[in-house]
Amino acid sequence: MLLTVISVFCKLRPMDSNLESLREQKYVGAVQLSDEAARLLAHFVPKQERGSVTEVPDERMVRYYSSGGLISPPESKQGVSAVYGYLHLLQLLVIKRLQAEHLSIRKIRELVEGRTERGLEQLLGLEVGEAGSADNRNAATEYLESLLHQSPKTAPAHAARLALAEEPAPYSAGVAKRAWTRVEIEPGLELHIREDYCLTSDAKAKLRLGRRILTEIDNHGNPPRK
Amino acid sequence: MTRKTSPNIEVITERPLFIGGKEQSTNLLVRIVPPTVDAVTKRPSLNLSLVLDRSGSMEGEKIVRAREAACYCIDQLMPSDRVSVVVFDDVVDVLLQSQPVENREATKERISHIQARNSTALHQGWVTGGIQVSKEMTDGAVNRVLLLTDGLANVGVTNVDTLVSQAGELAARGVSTSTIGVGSSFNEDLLIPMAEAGRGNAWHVEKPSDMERIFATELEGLIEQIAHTVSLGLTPADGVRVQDVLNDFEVTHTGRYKLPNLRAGSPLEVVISVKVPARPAGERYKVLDVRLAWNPQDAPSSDREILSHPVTIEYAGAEEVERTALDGRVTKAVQLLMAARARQEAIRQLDSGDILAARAILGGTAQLVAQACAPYMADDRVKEEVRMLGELEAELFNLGDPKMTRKKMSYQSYDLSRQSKPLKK
Repeated sequence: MLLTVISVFCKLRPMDSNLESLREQKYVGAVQLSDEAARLLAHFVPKQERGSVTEVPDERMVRYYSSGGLISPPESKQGVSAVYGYLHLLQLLVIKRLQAEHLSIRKIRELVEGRTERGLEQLLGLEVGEAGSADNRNAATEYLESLLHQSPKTAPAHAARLALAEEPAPYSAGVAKRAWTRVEIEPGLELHIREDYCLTSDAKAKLRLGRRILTEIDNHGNPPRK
Repeated sequence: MTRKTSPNIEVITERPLFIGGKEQSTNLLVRIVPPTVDAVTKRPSLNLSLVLDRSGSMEGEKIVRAREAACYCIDQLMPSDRVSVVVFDDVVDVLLQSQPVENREATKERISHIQARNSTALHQGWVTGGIQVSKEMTDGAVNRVLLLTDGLANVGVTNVDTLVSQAGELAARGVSTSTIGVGSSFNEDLLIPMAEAGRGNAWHVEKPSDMERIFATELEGLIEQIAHTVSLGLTPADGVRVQDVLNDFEVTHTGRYKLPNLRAGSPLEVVISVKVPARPAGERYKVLDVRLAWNPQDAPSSDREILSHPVTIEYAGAEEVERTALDGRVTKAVQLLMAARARQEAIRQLDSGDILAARAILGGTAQLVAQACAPYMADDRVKEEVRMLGELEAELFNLGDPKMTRKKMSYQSYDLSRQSKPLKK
């Protein structure tokens, strides 16, 4: 028997960034680890920055960071597959989070290297060691949360343009940085355009592009808009 | 039982005696004297959120200094304190969730990467910082949001009255707000009332290089804080009328004056103008009950302490009264508070476009202060006041940046009336 698949069925509520239930989780192979990190990324990487965080974590990225020592060696091997655990998941999430804050790989290495699970959790902003504080409901919090729900969340689309320097992809180090422009189409929907992107002049191709974008939005987990 | 941290009340009259048989107006100086710093051994733990504006206008030295000041702040905190960092432009990000101050270097590294970007979602930034603090509220801690901005709120809730009243509502629920306005483009008519309602402090950064000193002073003030939600009640006796409270404190719905938080070692001076009735010479008469109420910093938020202080005056013959000396402390306090009001009047003139009238008010006030306080010119506060008034007048004369002068006047007036902690050198 080569593989014992360890299922990853832990569900996170949308706003719940508590990783408590994943402490004992094992991931067989870089794919499982990167999938899990990709699933959790939204909780830990600020929304605005996500476009610049390079891509969603993938298998290649895990191998790249592993070979560079940013991610610790696997816990063990299962056949040909490396077995990763909670520490690796945290390392991967922290790297992505710090990249989103535009820290250099060198700085990230300084911050991540040798850090314990607890230290990594802190870098992610997870509540550490203080039981019950997540339930610390009080009048002030309730009041503030009610304000957040009332307040208009719209940012003027014209104001939301900025250039983001793209971090070089880890596996193509040395590629020149390209600027991306972020445009908010409407609240919750952003478009990122690389500086060298050219829109096709062909009308049919434009239509296809539009349909692809709509399909992407439709497939994005949320029920399609009516 | 009086706690070790309880303030005392002293009431000082202009002269020790009042003229008998005559109704008269007079000023009473109420000094609220907290214990000295040495007497307060326990430093409250701090639960702070640094809410930093990274809108486009912060670009350059401002964002650099703001980052430095925030890093400085992190350095000053103790491991038992909590801190979170929220940055906002048109969107709001929690850069650092509320946590104990342990990984200083990691936190500072992240602050040092904050870049100036878009427009100013001040309200949502403030609310987000508030949540970081409120979720970690504990009894005895100073729970505070430090909001730093250089611009006008232009995303989300932008109405001044709404923002101010929300800061008040939040303070009533235990989280206070201090505001730090940078430069000359923000709205001081928002940031000062927001800090007042929010029971924190309002600071003006005239030069980006002042930012660290302001953070230092704010932090020191938080550590020295011994009481919050402080109110002053005045109950006049028969025939006595309270005409004015020169500090222009806000009045609560129960008719009490809202005082700033009390800091160890920093007395607060309140001047009350009263009309006292005609009483025969030789009589002692209770004119007023002063009632101070506060929440001690080191106690559960429900603990409220009250101190009552009756004020009794003595009447005598006119000649005898004439022979007594005027108390310089009352004169100085009155002059400084009147000079605070003069600035408000100058602002009104400036807003209506009459720079000449504004200048005349400042010049006239400088003369009045110098005359009335002539015997006390060695006093640091008097010297500083005369210097500041001269500087304001000169700025309006030279037609420098009236927006900046207006801000200086607003903040000086605010500082004088509540005797803000002077900036650390």
